[in-house]
Amino acid sequence: MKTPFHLGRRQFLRGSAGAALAIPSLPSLVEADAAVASASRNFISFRVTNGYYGSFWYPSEAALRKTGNFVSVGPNVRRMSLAEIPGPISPLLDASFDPVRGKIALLRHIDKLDGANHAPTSGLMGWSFKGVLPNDLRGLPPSIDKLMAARIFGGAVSPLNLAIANSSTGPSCSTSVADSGEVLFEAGLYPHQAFEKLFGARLAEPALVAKRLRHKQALVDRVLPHYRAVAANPRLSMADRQHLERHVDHIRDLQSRLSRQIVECTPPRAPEMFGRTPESIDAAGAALIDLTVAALRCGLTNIVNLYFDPDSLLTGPLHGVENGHHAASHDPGAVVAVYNAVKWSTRHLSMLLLRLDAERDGNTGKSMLDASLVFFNNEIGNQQGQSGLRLIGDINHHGLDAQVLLAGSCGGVLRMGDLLDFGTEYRRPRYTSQIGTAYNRVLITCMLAMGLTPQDWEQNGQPGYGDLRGVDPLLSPPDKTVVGDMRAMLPGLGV
Amino acid sequence: MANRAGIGIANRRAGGASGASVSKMAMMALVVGLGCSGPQPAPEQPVPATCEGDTIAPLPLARLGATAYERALRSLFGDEAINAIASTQSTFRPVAIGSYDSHLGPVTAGEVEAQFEISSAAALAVMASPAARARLLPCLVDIETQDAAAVKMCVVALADRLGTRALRRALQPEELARFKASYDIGAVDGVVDGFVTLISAIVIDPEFHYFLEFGTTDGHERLSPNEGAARLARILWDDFPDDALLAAAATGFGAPSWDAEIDRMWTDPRARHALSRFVFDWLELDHVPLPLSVWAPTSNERTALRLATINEVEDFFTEGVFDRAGTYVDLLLDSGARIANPALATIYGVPPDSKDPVVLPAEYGRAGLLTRVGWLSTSVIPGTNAGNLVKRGARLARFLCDEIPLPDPSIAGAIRPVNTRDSPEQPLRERFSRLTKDTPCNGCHATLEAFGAPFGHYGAMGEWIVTESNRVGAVTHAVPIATDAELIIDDVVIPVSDGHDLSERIAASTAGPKCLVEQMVQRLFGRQVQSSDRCLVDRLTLALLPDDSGHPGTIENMIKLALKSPEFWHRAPDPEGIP
Repeated sequence: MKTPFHLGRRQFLRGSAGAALAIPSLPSLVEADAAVASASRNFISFRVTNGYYGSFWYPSEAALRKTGNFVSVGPNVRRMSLAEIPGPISPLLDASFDPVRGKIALLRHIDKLDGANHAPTSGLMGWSFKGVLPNDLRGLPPSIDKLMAARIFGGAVSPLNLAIANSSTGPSCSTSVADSGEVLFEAGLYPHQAFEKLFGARLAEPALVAKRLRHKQALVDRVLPHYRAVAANPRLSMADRQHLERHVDHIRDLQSRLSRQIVECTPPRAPEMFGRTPESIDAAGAALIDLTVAALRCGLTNIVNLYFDPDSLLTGPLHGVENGHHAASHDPGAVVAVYNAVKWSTRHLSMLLLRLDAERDGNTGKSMLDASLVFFNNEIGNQQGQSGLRLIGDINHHGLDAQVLLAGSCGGVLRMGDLLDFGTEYRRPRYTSQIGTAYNRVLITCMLAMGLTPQDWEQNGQPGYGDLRGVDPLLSPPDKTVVGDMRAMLPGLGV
Repeated sequence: MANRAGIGIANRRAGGASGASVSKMAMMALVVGLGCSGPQPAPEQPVPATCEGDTIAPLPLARLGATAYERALRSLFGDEAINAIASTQSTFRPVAIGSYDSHLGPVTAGEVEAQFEISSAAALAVMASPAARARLLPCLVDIETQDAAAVKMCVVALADRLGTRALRRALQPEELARFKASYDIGAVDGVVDGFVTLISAIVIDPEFHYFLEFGTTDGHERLSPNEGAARLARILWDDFPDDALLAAAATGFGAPSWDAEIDRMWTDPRARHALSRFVFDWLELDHVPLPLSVWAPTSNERTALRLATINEVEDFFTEGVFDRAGTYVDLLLDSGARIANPALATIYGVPPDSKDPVVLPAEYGRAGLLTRVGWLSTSVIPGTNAGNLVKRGARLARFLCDEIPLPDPSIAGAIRPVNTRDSPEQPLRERFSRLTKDTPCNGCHATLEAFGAPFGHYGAMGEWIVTESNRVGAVTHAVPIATDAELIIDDVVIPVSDGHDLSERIAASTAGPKCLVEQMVQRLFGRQVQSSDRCLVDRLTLALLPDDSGHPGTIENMIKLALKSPEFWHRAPDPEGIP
């Protein structure tokens, strides 16, 4: 049995937007500078579902032939500037992305090694609990957003989880593993819930807001030792005490979050209490984008996870998706429906990127997008047949040739503006023919860009994050899929 | 073929005598034969061993889930105050790790944050409302105008009253002092602020959120009366003990007795609501898809139809149990229904404006639970009007506690999925069968298809269909439907002709009732059924089966038997945990 993974805390200096945090204790000024820089970055994951068709997502073969300027940047990595592509990048990355074309990186031939499927865990954890592997989840670290919150922000920042799902109990991608091996999901909030969480307590007079915060801080200070005492009661079983100790950890993090100074900030307009109906999801999606930007601008978090999975709320008349998005993902004839569903999500992605880019720092002139890392990903991979040349569905629920887009330079750490192709010379017999590079490396890249170091996620000095075993030697053979340096960013992305 | 259903249960139809019933004595012999280590009954005794003395597997630490949390807050503070904080309240959304919403893992960061927000919001809402104040404690109504002595008395009274209700037991002096000190936090800014921090502190307490069970002082094996009361209210009501139950606990359940309390609580609407929630989780009703526009043109109507579909199944179960002394046989074969939604009535083929109970038309093969729209509905398969027989097969397997594993991705990747637009002249069943034939998937899929096939005359929404209509472009192929199948139930291969026939077979089986019992025990203990639960499971199964005169036991009796069992009172700490 593996040792349970427990989140420690790194000391930190300063949160976003100048919010003062706890007292630092760092050995050198260099580290201090790095910590300041890390703590001013934002991470925004944007998770979509049910796969995609590559010919609508990547630049067309004709466009690539016309430019022909792929440059090798290392073994199995080729780069081409997105600026060279005439017209829109692709039908899904349409002209609305053009204003930020230089600030996105499109990754191709990234392969998830696990079973993928409709599993929230595969997005930010690098493995999926569906399928035969892994049998024992104990000891696996939490999703990368939680690692960032704990290790960069010392728990003083909590990921904001936002979701559109056709069920009110939809989870987010922010997950962890209990000591006993169960997967624990944070809930994804709908707009009115998120607004209440972020701004509900801030709508009163400033003096009243300050008073309530003071009361809450005092209450947390008083409750914490009592929880500690109960968790130490020897009449409770070991398992019960572990549950309670986890609760104590969370209260301690909350204590630290409450100590952040309030940033002067005007709350956005309260969103409507949207129902989960086909007619309301467009507005609900836009409201979540608004709330994302507002939460970052107001310094209420540095980490946001968006999870868009409306499924049957996407309809034929309104969205061009008959019978629901999930059903389309099982229908090789429903290529257009899948396109329309992904298009619905990428419209929100473009809205997010443009909104982030419009938020400017008064001192530096840099945009919030520049200070952020946006990580767009799909739970399952390319549904197209071999080579992606024919528009025929070869539907699968694997994460092969995963849909991955990064945006924002994360404070100048990442190079943007390129199409990066990680395909190898090896071929698989089905689905996207070219075997590529492990998805886990994308997650590692995100963590490194945000300022984590390998010690933050590794156990016992063992390199790697997530499940690297693979589930199918035919589709993602371990000797052919590139894993590479599991302590380094993906080639071509580092500045 | 391997034994698929009714694992560990004796064959009720030795020799394949279809429809024959097993006697309780035969089942009892089985229970004894399973080798429970507790005192064994004499052969002539009508009930099997209780297995008292067996080690019961550890129970996970129970805590308030979303439903129980909201109910508890409503119970403490009233609907007005909690309605006022609906948005904040809805941010507490723990995701269950087991089959039931009460089966929760360790708390997450987001949940803890929500708990603090909600406790604060609830306290503010109470103190903002004269009615809510009066409901909580009369002295709160005009507390701002009272002198210091009156305020002090009110603080003590509130700490005691609310603390006792929230912690589900009488408070110790040091606990009262701790809560009173919480008043002081806010009181520096005023009396009302003091009560806000006092109320918040009580409903953020670990003993409010967790059902901590320390056991009786003379040992660790049994719950204390208060802990038993809390467990009972949690399971039977999804709520906290009321004053009457706490009073009974204070007497050690001498008067009124434990059994009398269970009977009293059974008649409370909360028991019905909690059982509805059990049905929702057990039958996975959250997976009922949003109907297509062909059934309801507007999204509001579709949402209403989906809800009515779910409610109809829940009501069918709970009304059967609470109002009609329903048995497991009734659950599978009763064709009575109340259909409140016109679109649902149309699907069932009954008058759309009927407010009264109806009998579902026999010509559409409707019987009990397994032929209800809520149980049958599946996501649409493109190109056909047929329901998804594989999903129904998997659902039926789970209904019989015979979980079929998920596909092995390393195998599934090598098999091309069925293209529902290929071979439209063939029924879906054949196309699925052809796909998995001669593959390692065949074993499970043969079972899934056999389990799903008897429901072939029900389309994706659960509507009656005469033929499969398989569409390719503008051409529609009308394909006959074959619903006959051979299934293994109680270790015996049984031919069934359709969904109604299958319902009859399962109603007469042991595997069916036993699975319901296992699900109920899961809900009771908050974890998967384990080998140490076998005696309880068998005793409860026995209570559902026909007696020697052929009358099956009621589901009500089975549930009450579980609540009155010695196992209910067992405190089962992790043996590694107690020093």
